[in-house]
Amino acid sequence: MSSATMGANSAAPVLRLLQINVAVLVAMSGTIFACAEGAPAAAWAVPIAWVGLMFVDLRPLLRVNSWVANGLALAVIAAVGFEYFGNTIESRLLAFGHFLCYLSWVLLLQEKKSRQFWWLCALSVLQVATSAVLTSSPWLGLALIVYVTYALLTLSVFSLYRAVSRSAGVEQRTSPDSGSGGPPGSVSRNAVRLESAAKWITPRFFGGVAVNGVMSITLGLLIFVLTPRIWIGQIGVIGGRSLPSARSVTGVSEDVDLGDVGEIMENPDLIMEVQFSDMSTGKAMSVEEFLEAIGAETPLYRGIALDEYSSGHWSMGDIGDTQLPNLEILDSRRHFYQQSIRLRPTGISALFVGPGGVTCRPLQPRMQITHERLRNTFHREASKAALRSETFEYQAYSLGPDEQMSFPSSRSRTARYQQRMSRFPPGLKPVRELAEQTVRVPGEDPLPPAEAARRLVARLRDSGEYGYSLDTTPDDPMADPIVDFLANRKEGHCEFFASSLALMLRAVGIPSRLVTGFKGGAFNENTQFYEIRQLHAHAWVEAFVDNKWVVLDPTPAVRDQTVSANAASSHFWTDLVTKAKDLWMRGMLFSGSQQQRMFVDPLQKSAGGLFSSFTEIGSELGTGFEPDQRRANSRDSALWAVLLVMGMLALIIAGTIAGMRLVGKRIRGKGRRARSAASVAGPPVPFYERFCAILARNGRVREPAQTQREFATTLGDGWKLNGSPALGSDRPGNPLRDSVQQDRVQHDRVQQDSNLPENITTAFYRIRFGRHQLPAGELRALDASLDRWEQSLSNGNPGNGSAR
Amino acid sequence: MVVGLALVAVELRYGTLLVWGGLLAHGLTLLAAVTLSVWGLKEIITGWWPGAMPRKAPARRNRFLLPAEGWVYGVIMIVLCAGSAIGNSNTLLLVFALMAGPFIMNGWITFAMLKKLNVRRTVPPRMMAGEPFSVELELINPKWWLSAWLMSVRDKVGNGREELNPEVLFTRIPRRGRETGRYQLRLSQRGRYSFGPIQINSRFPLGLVERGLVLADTAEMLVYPRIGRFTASWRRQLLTATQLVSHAQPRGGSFDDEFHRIREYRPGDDPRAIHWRTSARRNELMVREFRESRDRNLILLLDMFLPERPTEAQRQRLEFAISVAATIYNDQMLSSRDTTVFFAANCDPFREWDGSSHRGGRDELLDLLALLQPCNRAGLQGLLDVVRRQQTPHSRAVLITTSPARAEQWDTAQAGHRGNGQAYLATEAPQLVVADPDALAGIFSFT
Repeated sequence: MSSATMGANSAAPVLRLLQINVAVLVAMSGTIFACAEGAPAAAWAVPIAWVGLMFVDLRPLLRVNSWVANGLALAVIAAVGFEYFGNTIESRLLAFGHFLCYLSWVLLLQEKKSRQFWWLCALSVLQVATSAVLTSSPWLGLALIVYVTYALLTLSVFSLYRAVSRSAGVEQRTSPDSGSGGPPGSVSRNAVRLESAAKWITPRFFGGVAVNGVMSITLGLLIFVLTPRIWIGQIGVIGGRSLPSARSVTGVSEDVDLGDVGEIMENPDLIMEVQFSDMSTGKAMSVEEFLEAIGAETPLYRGIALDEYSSGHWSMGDIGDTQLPNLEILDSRRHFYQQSIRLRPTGISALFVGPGGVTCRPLQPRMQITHERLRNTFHREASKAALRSETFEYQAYSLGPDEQMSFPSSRSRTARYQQRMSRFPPGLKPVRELAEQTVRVPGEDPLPPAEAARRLVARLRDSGEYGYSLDTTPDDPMADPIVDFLANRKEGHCEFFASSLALMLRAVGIPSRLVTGFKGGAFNENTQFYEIRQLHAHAWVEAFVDNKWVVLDPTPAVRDQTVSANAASSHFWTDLVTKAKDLWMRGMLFSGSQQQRMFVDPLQKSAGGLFSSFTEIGSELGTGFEPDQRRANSRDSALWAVLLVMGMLALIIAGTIAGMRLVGKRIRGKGRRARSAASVAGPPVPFYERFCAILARNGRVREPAQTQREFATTLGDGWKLNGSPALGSDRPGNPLRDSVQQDRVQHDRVQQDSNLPENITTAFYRIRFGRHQLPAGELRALDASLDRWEQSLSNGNPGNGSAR
Repeated sequence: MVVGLALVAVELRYGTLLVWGGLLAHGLTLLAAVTLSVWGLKEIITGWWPGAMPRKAPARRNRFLLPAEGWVYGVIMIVLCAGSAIGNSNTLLLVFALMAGPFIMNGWITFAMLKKLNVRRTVPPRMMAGEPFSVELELINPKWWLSAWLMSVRDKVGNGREELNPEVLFTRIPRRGRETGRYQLRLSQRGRYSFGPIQINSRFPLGLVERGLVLADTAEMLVYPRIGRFTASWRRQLLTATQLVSHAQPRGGSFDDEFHRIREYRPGDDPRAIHWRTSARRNELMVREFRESRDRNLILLLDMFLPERPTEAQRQRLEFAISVAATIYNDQMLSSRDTTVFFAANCDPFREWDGSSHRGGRDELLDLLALLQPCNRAGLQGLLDVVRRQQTPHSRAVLITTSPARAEQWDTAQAGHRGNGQAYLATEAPQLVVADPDALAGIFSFT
């Protein structure tokens, strides 16, 4: 069967593939929705899609007719109607999602034509879109990529199916002529031209779809990155609930239950990114340079200062000391060091500030930060939804050791706070005893507070008596966790060490508080930011010694090694997953201000720089043109300069493009001419070239305007080879002339030789224009003739035209 | 234009992009919006006043169509985009972007595939009405870097009264390659059919955007009237004077009897026709059979009368008459040597065709028959004059008319002609054929 007459039935493989693809797509979208919703109902799409494929599409055993389908659709509407009238946006969204699911199930059970396929695809896309509103977890990113790739394949197959249905074997008729004897109307029949082997679906097709998929997804991601984040609504999305939210763990919680930190020490989730710079020069600094500048030893990022301890639980009370940060100090002559911080959603209002931070300001418009002076902590004013879902960018400012400043509160408040910091909880007698035992050596004078603090730190950190461990299983569950730690287990993590120190300091009369935050971080070469993750969470102590708060870290150094080991102990896949999650979170929290800084600001800077250059040029031009008169307005000159330069640029670009086109045209034309010349000239004909060469040596050259035949004609008799000398010279004294065969051969040779130019030309024409191939014998004969001819010419035979 | 102006107005009024992107974004947006407005205005002007910017119809014209699927897809995208802006959702924006990417790629891929494509059409110059034939379309892709997928090449075939749009779907044209496809046609009406322009459309890969190329490539084809077949007896009766052997005597040089064959004697044969030698050899009586030479010139007259407001049946009758004329002519050419045909038709203008002076072969008259147009003022006098002028003893005239009423008119005209003292030569009167399909059903058919 010729491909041109292939009928619609031949597209059955396409239809089958389409049916399978659509079924898988619907199953995929149902599964995604079920995962996003957190309920398995939508996942019933999988078995229903299978049933639809097997018993409706491939074998029509279970097809639902339109009446039944309509009835089912009404039932669907009724079913989701109840959900829809729930009070929350989430319930309405879920109702909508369920509606899409159920409707697609009804369609799966119907006989499918193009319209049904298209509706299934559209419903599937809407389900995925609804899922994107319900969740923004990292798994959704992978699911989207897989789904989009498969959807592109499905749409491509659908497009192929539609094209085939429209074309293959379709007949079109005009209205038949009426009347008896009249011929029937005109008919046309469409055709399909398959590429090869009567196959619709080829590996090349899949390759094309794959390339298209990659390019489409890449372009889509680019669009995502470049689309302006112009949020116009105040409706908080529901999807934030799957983001890293408030958990009662060190680092990102406003109160601490001792023992919870273990699980986060292996959690690589990114919490924040920090960049250091010198505010005066704007120059970026490494963390080491920063620490050196501000006189700190370790990069500790303060978040929350906890005051009250009770039975293994630290919390902070309200001290009523909240104000806006003092930003006026930034205009003073002090030398500030800047920390640019990008904080992921934590669910809490506390902001984390690096060492020496004295003030803070937000980078996002309409955002507010407050400062608790006594605790020296900073908080962000935002709704709970925003705290859970929005990245916050801010800058913190630190001073060098010689320029430290404090922000005292009212005396009474300060006094109350001091009291609180000194309050030793009841029921911790062993802690007090241990503290006193450490700082009060019999026979010694009471130690100054600083020395006492140092000894307590050394007791915990350096004595070797206490070890670092993430295992928080208590030896005596009835005892206070700190007492159990100090007396029994003698092993714990930073929370225990810090809590112990804070309590021991209070026990000896030194006000202290527990501070939670992060310690350390890793520099990312790509982003040029220090990345602080959950596993960098840490707790330490601040003690009020010598009228200032001093940072004390009693945790043994092995903690840093553990953290580094955890950070470094990345399996390739774990690393990949972590990076992918980071990338996803970065994308999902991509804000307009980030976009601005990433794309718009550099462009603006360049444009601004360019404009400044033009202004300078313009000023100089203005000066040059009007030396004695009042100088023209520099802006006007700049404008002229801009126009001039742009005009020159435009000319250069246009000239380059025109030049390239011209060159390209010439090259193409040459190629075309060469090809056409080659096709006209055809393959070389050796014997004719030899013939021409012989003539050329004897002074006859074909003129360009002459054809070969004309040339042969103009050669005249003088160039014909005289047969007699050939005969004579060939066979001197050959007695065997009476052989008929030899005579015939001789006769032929004479004939050939005597009319050599025409014979050669005729043979040439047969090859060049007739596309014939001469037999080998004939070629040899021609060569032999040429030999003899050449010989005779060189012997100067009469009439050989050498004189011509 | 409206979109551009709206963008300008919104940006100047609210300065949204000025806040987001600064002066640069603001300026670029205004520039883009102004450009869009100016372009829109230009399109409006050229649409309403084509004379304002006259331009030659281009040999290649692009076309763009958003099919229903594309519209639905676009609406879903817009809803998602709006939803993401209202809900401050990056995930929804991601879904929108992942839909927008393929949409844009679809448009670009189809645009890139269509560039530089060319089509060559091979149409037979002539065809018989009702006869199936194929038209070859060669699709050429000279691009070195991109194949062309799912190209639907649609041709347009019409003669002013009917129109067809046959299509050939090419699944793939490799880069720097060409493929040939054929669609089939069966045209029922005689006349001149024009082919073209050719449209090349594609929706590959996703079917969301349809782009096309319209090539002003035209061709023409003449469709001859349908040629039928007379029964053998009627053909002989119409075109030849089949003579029995008894009438084999030559008539004064007008006809030369042709020896046909020697056959057995039948009672009633002229004894003078007995071929004695063969009879002796065969030992039975054998006679020579002669046939009158069929080499008689033909004067073919066609009455092209059609009322001013003809019914379909009348129109069909005229077409049938033309087919009969073509059939008679065809049979004459096939069966006779060295005869000429003189044709006349009383359309407007009066058409005459002399086969003796036209050596273009049988196609010439068929070309003429293909293009004849009826006339509501067609009189028979002109045809009579032709008969008077052209008829000789060597010729035979046949008049084909569409209705018995016209046949009666012819008879009346002939009688009047004789009454005027203008006699024919000693020839027979033109044979009258009323082209009534029912009446001729027994002797003429198209199959």
